[in-house]
Amino acid sequence: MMKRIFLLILLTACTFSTFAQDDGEIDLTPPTMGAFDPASIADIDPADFPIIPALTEHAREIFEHGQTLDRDPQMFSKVGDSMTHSQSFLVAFGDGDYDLGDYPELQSVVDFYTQSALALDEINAFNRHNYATELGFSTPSALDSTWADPNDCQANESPLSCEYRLSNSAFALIMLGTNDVMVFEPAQFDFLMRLIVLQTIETGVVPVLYTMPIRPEEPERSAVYNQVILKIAQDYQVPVINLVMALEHLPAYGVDPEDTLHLTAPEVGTVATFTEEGLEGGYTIRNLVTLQTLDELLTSLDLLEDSQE
Amino acid sequence: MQMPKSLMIVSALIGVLMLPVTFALGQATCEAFTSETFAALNEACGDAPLDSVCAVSGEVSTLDAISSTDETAVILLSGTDENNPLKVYLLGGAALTAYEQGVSSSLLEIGNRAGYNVNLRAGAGSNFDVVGIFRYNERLNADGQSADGQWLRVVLADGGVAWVGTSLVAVAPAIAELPVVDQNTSTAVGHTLTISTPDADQACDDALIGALITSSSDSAQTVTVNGVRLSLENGAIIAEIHADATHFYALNGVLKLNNQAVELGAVRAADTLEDVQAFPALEVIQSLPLEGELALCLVQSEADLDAFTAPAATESPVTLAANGSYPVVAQTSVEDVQWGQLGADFDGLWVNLADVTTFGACEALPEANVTSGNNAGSVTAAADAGVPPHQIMMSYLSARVVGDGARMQQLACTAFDGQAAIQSQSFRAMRAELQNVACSTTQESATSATVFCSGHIQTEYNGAFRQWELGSYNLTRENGAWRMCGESN
Repeated sequence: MMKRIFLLILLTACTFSTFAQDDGEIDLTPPTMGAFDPASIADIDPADFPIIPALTEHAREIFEHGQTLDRDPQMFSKVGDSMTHSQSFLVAFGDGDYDLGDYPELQSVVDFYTQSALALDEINAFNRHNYATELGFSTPSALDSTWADPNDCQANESPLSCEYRLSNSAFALIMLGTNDVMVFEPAQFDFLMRLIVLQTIETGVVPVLYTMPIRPEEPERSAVYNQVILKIAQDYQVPVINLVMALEHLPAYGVDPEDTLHLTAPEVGTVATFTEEGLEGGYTIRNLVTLQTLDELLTSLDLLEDSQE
Repeated sequence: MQMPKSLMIVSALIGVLMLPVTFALGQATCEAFTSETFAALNEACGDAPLDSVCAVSGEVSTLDAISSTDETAVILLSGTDENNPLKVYLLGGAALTAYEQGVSSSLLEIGNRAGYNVNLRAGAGSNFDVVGIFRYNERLNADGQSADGQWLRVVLADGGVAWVGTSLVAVAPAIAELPVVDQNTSTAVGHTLTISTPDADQACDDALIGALITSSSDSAQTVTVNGVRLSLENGAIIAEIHADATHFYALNGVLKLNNQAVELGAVRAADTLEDVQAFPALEVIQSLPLEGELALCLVQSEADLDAFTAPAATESPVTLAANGSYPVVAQTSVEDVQWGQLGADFDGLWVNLADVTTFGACEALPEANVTSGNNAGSVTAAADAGVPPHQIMMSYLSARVVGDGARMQQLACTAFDGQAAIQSQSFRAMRAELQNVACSTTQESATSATVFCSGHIQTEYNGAFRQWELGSYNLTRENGAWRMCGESN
């Protein structure tokens, strides 16, 4: 049942025109604090955006630029707070402890990353340590060298720079906002998030953004944050996984009411179990849409055979 | 369900809610309010019991059985310090027209232990509407708890109340001692006084009408006057009664109004400069029985006084009336002329100190931080000139844990300015503090220095503590001052 819902959403996404594949000139000028215009996001509605993004032309260009820098297409970075730092985000796929359930076609994605040349000692993109994830992470944390690992990162190197340097990743899965939404105005979040996305692009890494789960204490501001994220994705023509829409059908929108910092886990199965029961967990949904997005991007880049064929 | 909490409180200083008492007191003649009269009053009332009214004749009455009198009097109020009671001197013929003693003598300051913003509700239950937010890094004042102990009532800045779940509040043994209250229980804390203007034929002409409230205690004493909760620690506040409002002048000590700290020289219950009344005339201030030296610098002119937006300015002055005094909080010298900067409630205007009479702590005024236009950075650097590298680094770290981005950017070199701004925000979602931090300069040349800091920054996030070890930092000289310029390799 859940798979039919997601296939319907995916097919419907292909017909959307609101997330324009506009290949006009993209302004990569560094942002200016205070330049944020609330009117610019007024018409942004997450319901108008697909859950699974397609590969944009600019994303292709970023990837190809990264290849000239010898970045590893079989490696991705995770950038985010405790939900991204958590063992519940993708780790089980790297450990071989998963059940694709109704989505066997995603096996090729899992294999792509777990059977890479660098997947030594069973360490791979899914389960390795990331330098740009941490409990309490917010947008400034990613850019502040204080948060970088003192053992492996260089002096004055931000967690983001350190992660991209050490991982040599070609993609970055970036989800931020859960901690920011409690303390920053949308203008501040917009400014800092743009810095992160631009630095990612300049490094030759394809940024894959997420709309954030609704924070129960700040639902209105969470909604504005998601408008900001979608606008940033539009402006820089980069993929954005519309997680907030993917979670919409779940109780409490997939957020644990007892622990509002985190998504829910299913009562039956695990966060890596893509069955009807497993997909009742917020983490499971996030894992599914992430693999589906990677499938879409890798297929479009001819790194995978089309899993739908 | 827990047993209902007892209304009996352990502390002997916390009373039981009493019915308010209405009466009239203190309609004395104007000639009585001189410094000599105050001296006689204090001598006559030195042994008067707490929670009483003591007249200059020595007659003592309790607050719940007072009868009107036309004698000069002082009201002695109990607080948390038995040896140093609150004193309320009625001035200019003002009358105490109502008295009420609250259910508790003080508020309990509480913190949010959830690590994220939590709801404030209209009642003691999650079924009540959300009426506000108790932010993760905020502190509120609780004055009571629900009968089952599951909810705490907090008093908001506007005097209203709301409820927060006890489990979301930082644990403090004193919480269990809070009295049981419901939504309608009076929020009066300690003593509540209503002071009114007298009848016209009983008022003093050209005199301050109101009250002087003083405390010489080292612990905060609380009293509510005309609906405003005052907290005084070695402090003095003047309450001036007007037809439509009561103005409070923060005169001395550590003061709070409605749980908000106020700086000396502040005036409250006035919205605009035009509405702000000048402090009482120096003659009045000088006659008041302040307990201790005045920590505030007050100035007054014999004629109307011109005040300017900058020292040594000459255009567009604001005229300050001659019949009052004004608080000066800083000074600066321009071409050998001393200028004093008025407090924030007077828009920080500048007056020529040669044109005024001064009273109070005017000899020890701090140097004003005058910044303007493109010279702001160099002027700030001038203020830091001579400060050694390790102190600059310590200042940077101190600003870091409180998220003072402006100060961090002042202390950062130009190349690190952007990073300083980012660093100032990266701990915003958590509590941060310096622990066992000590910085020393390990290397120094004419233009560069290295500072090593031991200790760590400790953060608390969602109940979890983390220590961030410090290390070595590079500093460079810019505009004659040392500036933080990043981590050292």
